[in-house]
Amino acid sequence: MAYEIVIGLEVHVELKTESKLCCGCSTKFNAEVNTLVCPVCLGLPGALPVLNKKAVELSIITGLALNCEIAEHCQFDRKQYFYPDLPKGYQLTQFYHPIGREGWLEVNLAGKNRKIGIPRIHLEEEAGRSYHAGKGIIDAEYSLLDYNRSSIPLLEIVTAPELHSPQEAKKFMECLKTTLEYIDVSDCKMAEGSLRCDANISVRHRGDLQLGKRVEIKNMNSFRALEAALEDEAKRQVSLLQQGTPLQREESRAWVEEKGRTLFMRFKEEPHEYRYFPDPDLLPIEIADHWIQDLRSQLPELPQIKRQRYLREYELPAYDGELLSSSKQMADFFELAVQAYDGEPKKVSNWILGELARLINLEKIEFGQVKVTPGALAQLLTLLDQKVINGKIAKMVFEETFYTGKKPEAIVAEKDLEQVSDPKVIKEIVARTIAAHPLPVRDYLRGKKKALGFLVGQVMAETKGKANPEMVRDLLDEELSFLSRS
Amino acid sequence: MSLTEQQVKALSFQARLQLTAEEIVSFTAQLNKILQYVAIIQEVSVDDLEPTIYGVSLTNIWREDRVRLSLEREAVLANAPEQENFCFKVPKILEED
Repeated sequence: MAYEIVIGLEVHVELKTESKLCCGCSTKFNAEVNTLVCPVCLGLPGALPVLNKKAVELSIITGLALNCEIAEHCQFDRKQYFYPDLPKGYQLTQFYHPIGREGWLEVNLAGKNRKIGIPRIHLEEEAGRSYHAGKGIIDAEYSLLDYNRSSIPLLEIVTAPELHSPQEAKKFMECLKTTLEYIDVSDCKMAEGSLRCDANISVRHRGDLQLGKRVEIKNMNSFRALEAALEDEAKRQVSLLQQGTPLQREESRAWVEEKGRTLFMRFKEEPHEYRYFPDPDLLPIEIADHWIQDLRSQLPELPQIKRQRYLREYELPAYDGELLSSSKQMADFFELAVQAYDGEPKKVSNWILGELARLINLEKIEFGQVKVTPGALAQLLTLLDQKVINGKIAKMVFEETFYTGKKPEAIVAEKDLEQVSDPKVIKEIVARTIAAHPLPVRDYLRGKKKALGFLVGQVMAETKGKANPEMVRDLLDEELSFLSRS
Repeated sequence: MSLTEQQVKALSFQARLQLTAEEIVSFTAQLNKILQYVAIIQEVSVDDLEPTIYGVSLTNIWREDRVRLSLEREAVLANAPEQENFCFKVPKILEED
């Protein structure tokens, strides 16, 4: 029997503000514990919160990039529950009036562009951080609480249950991350927790109208973990269906990386148990049209649009367009290099996705740390086009530029790497090579064409790789055919 | 509208209040008296009124995104019943089911 997997994601993004949502404490990552807290974010009695305007602005920008309707009016509600990482006893969130609704993100899934619905995005606050003594939360005799993170602005982005495989969920997250990086609203570092994602997953018989009972999975710290956790959970739910014992209650499960499994945490509380009500301390927000228009006009070109433009304007293959636009830094680099270069954009793309990407992976650095400038790449390609250097030397020069930041022209001059294209010089070396290697020459003349490669190599070696390889081949060929006739 | 003892019991758990059986009985009665009193408001027509949530009619009150000095850590932890490594120490969070 065929099964259908239904996945919806709940994404949490720490917004890139200097200070917290309702107080002036810094949002710096990894500071000494409990040094970035004040009466407001500690929830001390009598403290009054005042909203950070930037957090609202970044939320609107995100809403616009995700094609949401931006609320004219929004306000904060209290979500009440007891947990040690929540010192106030409630979390500020936007339950009744989310800042954005009815958005979507276009994602290329299995070669098809699909709009995945984003019913709501809302602004809320981050919880503190707990450290559990012992092995984990269950075994711990006690826990230690650091409230530095408490009340950092957090944007929750909720997708419709429109993803149908773990791979689609992963692809959506990659796309969302790229978009968030483009609009620069968050650091998006999953390892540091500034981008997190919980997943709701259910399985039903294909064709069923009703969704199965869903399970929420938490604690996935990478895209790979997201995919693996969903694989594991889908398998478990399919086997429950096959045994005729489908899930009866909604539950939360945690992904346990070391075990490669999801483990039961708790059954889910009904939503009304949070006893939401409007927070009377924070005054309501009215978002005027001109504010929205102003922010909209500042939006950069988004990755999906950029990708399409690359195919049209630069005639790049879809593969190149998708990869280049997947990082804003890389896309900016590409465009600047294309501007500085007279040749085909595809050549620029080849070098970025080839040599540059190879070296970045090798050195495990970020694109932003790269010492090569777009101008340097353009210069290198120009040297190649003008046949000042050959392809092999170009790779060598590029590597040096990558490690030192030196300009290719300077490296070529300094190391005397200019291509030897003087036919007289090459002819001389060719003659010498032929004289020095009578055996390969004889092999070649007897029809062993492969021997030519060896002779070309000898000439190249003599010029330390600098000879124009086509010229070497042509001149060798010419000399040898002269020999064969005589 | 009135509350049952069952509801008061559920509510006390939600609020993490430990009530005895006698307290539940007596609080249910007291809460119902308050509810009856408040129910008088039901007689007033409020169809055309927006619910009053805020004491003042201001909107868009905010601060610019600037960092201000936080509390000294000593002051932060001064009221902590227990502490360890500059953190608040709290009892076991989850019991095994």
